[in-house]
Amino acid sequence: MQHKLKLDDQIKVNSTKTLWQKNLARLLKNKFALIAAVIIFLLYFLAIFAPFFAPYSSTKNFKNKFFHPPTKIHFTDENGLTSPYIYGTEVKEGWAEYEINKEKKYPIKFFQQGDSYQFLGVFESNIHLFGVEADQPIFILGSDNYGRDLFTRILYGGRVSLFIGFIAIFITTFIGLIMGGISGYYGGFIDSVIMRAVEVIMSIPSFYLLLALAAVLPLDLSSAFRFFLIVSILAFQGWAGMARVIRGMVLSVKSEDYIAAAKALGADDKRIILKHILPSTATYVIIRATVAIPGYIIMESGLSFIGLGIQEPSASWGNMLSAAQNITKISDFPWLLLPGLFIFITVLSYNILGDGLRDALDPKS
Amino acid sequence: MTKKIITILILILILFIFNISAAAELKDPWISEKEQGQHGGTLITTLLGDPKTFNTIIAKETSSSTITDGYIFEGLVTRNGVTTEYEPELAKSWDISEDGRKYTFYLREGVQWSDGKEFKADDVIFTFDVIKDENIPTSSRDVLKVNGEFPVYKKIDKYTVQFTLPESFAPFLNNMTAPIIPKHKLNEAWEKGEFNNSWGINTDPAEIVGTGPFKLVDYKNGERVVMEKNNYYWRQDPNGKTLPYINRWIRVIAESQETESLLFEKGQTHYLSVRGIDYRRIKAESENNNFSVVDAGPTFSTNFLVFNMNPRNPNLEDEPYKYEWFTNLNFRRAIAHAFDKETMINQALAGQGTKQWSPISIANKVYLNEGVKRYPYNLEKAREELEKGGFKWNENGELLDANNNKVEFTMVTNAGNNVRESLVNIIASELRELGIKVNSTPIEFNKMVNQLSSEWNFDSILIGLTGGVEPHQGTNVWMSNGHLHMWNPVQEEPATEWEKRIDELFVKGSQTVDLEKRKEYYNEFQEIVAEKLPVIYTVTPNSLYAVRDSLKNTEVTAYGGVLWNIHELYLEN
Repeated sequence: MQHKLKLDDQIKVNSTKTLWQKNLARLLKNKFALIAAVIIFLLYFLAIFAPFFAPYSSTKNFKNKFFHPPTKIHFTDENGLTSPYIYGTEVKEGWAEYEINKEKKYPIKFFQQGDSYQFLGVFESNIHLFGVEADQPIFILGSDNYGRDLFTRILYGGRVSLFIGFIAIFITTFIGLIMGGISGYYGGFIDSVIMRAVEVIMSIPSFYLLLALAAVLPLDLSSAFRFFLIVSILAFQGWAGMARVIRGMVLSVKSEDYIAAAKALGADDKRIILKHILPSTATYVIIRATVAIPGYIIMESGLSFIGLGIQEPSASWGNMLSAAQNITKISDFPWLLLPGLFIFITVLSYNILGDGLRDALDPKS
Repeated sequence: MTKKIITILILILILFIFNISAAAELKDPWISEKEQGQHGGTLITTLLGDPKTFNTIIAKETSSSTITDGYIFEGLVTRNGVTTEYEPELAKSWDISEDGRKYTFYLREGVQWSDGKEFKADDVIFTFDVIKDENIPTSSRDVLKVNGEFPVYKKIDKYTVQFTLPESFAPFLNNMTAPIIPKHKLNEAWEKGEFNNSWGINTDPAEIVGTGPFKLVDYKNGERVVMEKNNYYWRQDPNGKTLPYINRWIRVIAESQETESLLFEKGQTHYLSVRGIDYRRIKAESENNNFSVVDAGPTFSTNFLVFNMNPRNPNLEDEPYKYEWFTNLNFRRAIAHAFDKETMINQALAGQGTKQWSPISIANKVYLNEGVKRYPYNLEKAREELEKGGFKWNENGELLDANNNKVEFTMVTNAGNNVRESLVNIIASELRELGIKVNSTPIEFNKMVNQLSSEWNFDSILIGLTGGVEPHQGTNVWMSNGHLHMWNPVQEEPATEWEKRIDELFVKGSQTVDLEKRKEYYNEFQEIVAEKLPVIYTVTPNSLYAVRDSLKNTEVTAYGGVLWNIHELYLEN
């Protein structure tokens, strides 16, 4: 008797949680994946609110302060702990050499007024999270070749580098699901036609396609638009692989009893594909997207690195990194490599998160 | 007894033959005035690209001609690497007739090709026969033409050749630096019509014969070019021994300038052309690494912005107002005032550069006019000029022309050239201050050249040219019918008064032999260009070289680099 009650309780507890809640709980248990998710969230948050978190606008240049090392922030003075401040720097005799002037302190002010910006195309504001007054710049991660703040540009660059993957994934997933679903469900002639098309598309050499595209696109497109164009075209090519896997999954799901039941109840094909078959591929799609996004981030960096992606003065992590391609720059101004660190952290986090997701979503575990 | 006599006779015969085959004695050697050096040693330098051919006549790219010209082949005259004045090379002297139309060259007697055959007037005649041949694709032919006609040349005797020009032409001597090739090696191929395929990169190096200080011994694609001393060379050291001092010269093919500088820093090469960005680091290293860094002053290269003022621009159908902007002198002056050359030097050239104002290279000591109009960086002045030109600003600070079109244009440069990409960014950033939107994109070099020379559909291009000492070499750029008259090429009639005047000045400048007169003409030309701004000059990098201390007798200059007097350089053990 007692024994039976226990079993009932367990059933009750289990049934209050949906499948996805269970998956989430499993994911939260994985510490690494959790940390990775937090980092990714933070990066996106910073990038979205870049104009507010960055002390300057992305093109603001301090002409005389190029290759300026990161500004040291002081928290103590002769009287002990104090609100943070920095010392000013002066241009020294000689190229790209700066001297700290200890005579004047510049306190770091929060919610400082600075360059005005438009946020989300709606709000106009000139409040920045932090800044120092007057013409003394604060470069918490140093400045680049043109005297622009690297921290600012990393945040603005993140807007391009981080969101590029989303668009691409959205397009590939959408087309991949539809084509794979139709192909697997109907089979026969339609299946052969779609699969042959997939094979043709997969055999297009994407790198040369990119080179050609970069050459023919008109010059007066804004560079961000130009790049989104290139990425979307790539994504149109990328759906093929996805469609193939989805087709395979659909083929196996199609013969399940619940599909037969749905058919018997008179559901039309559209409803069966969208409501009954495709949801069962959700696990695969989510994992694939998580793993593919860093691929697009790397691709953006690579393209910008060879000069085909985002063009100056717009920032992206790839084109910022390409500005550091020189032994002198790496040895004397190592902070120019920081965008690379951001790419590294992002890609690593995505991969860890993807791993965690796979473990959490795997029904066998 | 008879045996002995026969042996002696044979010996005498051998000696006799030997004497004949060891060609005529060198009568006019050139003797080094630098300190006596040590013979022997291997010089190692770098090249940035593979040669495409060893046939210097048809070589189109500098990666080929830097291997051959001056080192394997030589001209009748050359320019001194320091003074840039003409000096005798294969010709020991020359006469110019009073009317400036007849040039007689007296060749050095007894000069030998690197295979021991004697160098004669026939070789000179052969070289010009080849250049004149319409079937040979060489750029030298057009350069040599005077007023559209190829000069008449003839052999006077074994050591004398004479050129007769259709009219007086001062820059003619400059053309006589063209390298001379051996008739005995190439005549057969030329007569068979195979000259264009001769001396490709797969030729046996022993076949490639020149009069220069070195001869080719090995070439491995993508790896290295190896040269050895030419034992028959006509220059001698102070002790009367044959130059060059250096026995073997290995030229490593480096992939990029980064590789070049790494090779040098590892101590594997003898000199390095230093980029501005690396100057400080290399200079710091030089102190305890047995090399020194030489600043030879501004180079002959130029970087400038050119606006499309061509009424035949195919884009004008859609955007006719762009023609109005670019031909508006006030507009161009405003842009010139927005050029912050101080910042350009600091950021694009890492502090190692010089501001340029005149179309003649700053390094050109002979013809540079320092007094031309200058446009100091001043955005206020720029705004004044724009107002004078009929431009105005809207409430967002964007610049509008008189018909309320927003001023926005593209500015391209060739991808991969960091200096030019930086210059474009700096200019675009200043123009943003003026309310002008600039779309800047680096594009492939060949595409840019097509836009400039045949498609004519660009807005503005930042490009550079390498000048020489002789201003007349710029005719294809400055004369209104020139193919490289970038802002409005191949005009039938000069479009403006000032272009007409420049045409006149170039014609006069080439016909006058008197140097002072020529300088006057070219001074006026420089003033007109600075006044009318068809192209707006930016900054010129300095030529910086790091030279290992073991390499002696060097005299580094912007014109000649490190190797211009390679015959006098020696390696100290």
